[in-house]
Amino acid sequence: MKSAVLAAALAGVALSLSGAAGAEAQAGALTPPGEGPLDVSADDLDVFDRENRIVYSGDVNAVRGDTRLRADRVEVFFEPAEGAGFGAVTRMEASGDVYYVTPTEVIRGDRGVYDFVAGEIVLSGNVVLTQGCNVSTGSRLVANLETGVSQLAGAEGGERVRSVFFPDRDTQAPAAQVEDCPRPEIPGEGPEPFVEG
Amino acid sequence: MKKRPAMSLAETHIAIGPALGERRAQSLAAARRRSRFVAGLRLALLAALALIVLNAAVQVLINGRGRDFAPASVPTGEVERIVNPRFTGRDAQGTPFVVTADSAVRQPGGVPGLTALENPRLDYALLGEAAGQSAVLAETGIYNPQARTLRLETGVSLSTRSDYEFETSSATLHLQDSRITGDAPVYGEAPWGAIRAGGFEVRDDGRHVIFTDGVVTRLIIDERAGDGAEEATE
Repeated sequence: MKSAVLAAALAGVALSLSGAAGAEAQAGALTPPGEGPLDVSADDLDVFDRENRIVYSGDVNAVRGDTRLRADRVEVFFEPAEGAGFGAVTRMEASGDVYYVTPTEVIRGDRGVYDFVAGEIVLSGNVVLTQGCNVSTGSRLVANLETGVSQLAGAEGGERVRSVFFPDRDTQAPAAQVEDCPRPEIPGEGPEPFVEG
Repeated sequence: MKKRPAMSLAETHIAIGPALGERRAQSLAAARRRSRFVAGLRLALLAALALIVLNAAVQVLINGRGRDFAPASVPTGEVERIVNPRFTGRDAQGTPFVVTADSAVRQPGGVPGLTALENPRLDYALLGEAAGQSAVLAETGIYNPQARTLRLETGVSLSTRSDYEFETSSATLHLQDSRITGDAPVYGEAPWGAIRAGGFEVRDDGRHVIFTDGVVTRLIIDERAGDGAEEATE
């Protein structure tokens, strides 16, 4: 894995991966969302029937398996059902203090798109990827949920990707076990569990 | 031609007297018969009139049962209890609605026509054909004909024509502008999943649904999302 090579070579160093604007770096294997239903909690929800679109607002938390997407606002898009109405979920668009949280990573961004059809999560705008003690920053992170490969890119003509690696740390250990590298604080009250009717 | 011999006055009087008395007696008898006949006719007319009034009253009573527009009222002191009440109206778009119930009690004083309902039902386009007139919306309700609102209380169960189902403890149907609001915790089922919220509102003829005051939803993720689109492009 490229990140491991970089970690070994550049331990404890703030790294500018490339002088070229918009350079990309492999950000490791991102934990894909779990299986089963998607539970979403928020302050409010607007459902637009004709547009096959629902909008959550106010401390939104979408939880599936061990993964969680947190944002100020999340729009969920559905494909049209046969005839009329809602079909399957195709895409989620998150904005405002977006966090994608897994047992081993926390990724922060200004915006996020979870594409169920492409099997891809994209976070953009002031992206901060935290894996244990290792931290990378960039402007756009694309995670392929099928291959597990994620790429962090700098801004076009702007800020480049920067990473700080600590090779003697187990980056795959749950955050709770990395005592001297506490996880970033996630804003809001946290997810509310769904209780069956 | 022979001439008749002339009669004397005395002879004439003797000849006319008995005939005149007989005619007078006959006239008197005829007049009495007419009086009796007219009196009989008058009695028959009064009897017929009484029968007509009685028949009309009986018809009203018979037709009133089971007819919604003429509910049978049973005075119960201060309030009026109505069996099988029926209230009709139209919303702002002219869509008709019909509110029915098992029984109703008019609220004395306050808002004119304010009526408490048992097992209220509503036949209205917003609730769709599935709900229909037969679906009981709640255990109790209050219909306000002035504001055209139906306030539902206790065991509220609503289904909209856009396939949403709501279960809550209270909700209000604003029939004037085709809205439903609820400010109590609600559990709902939608075409895309299930919802729990602190309150809800159905707007725009059911095309815009709002859940408020803390929302938790469960979306069923179909892993085949997009398959149809992909197949269509192949």
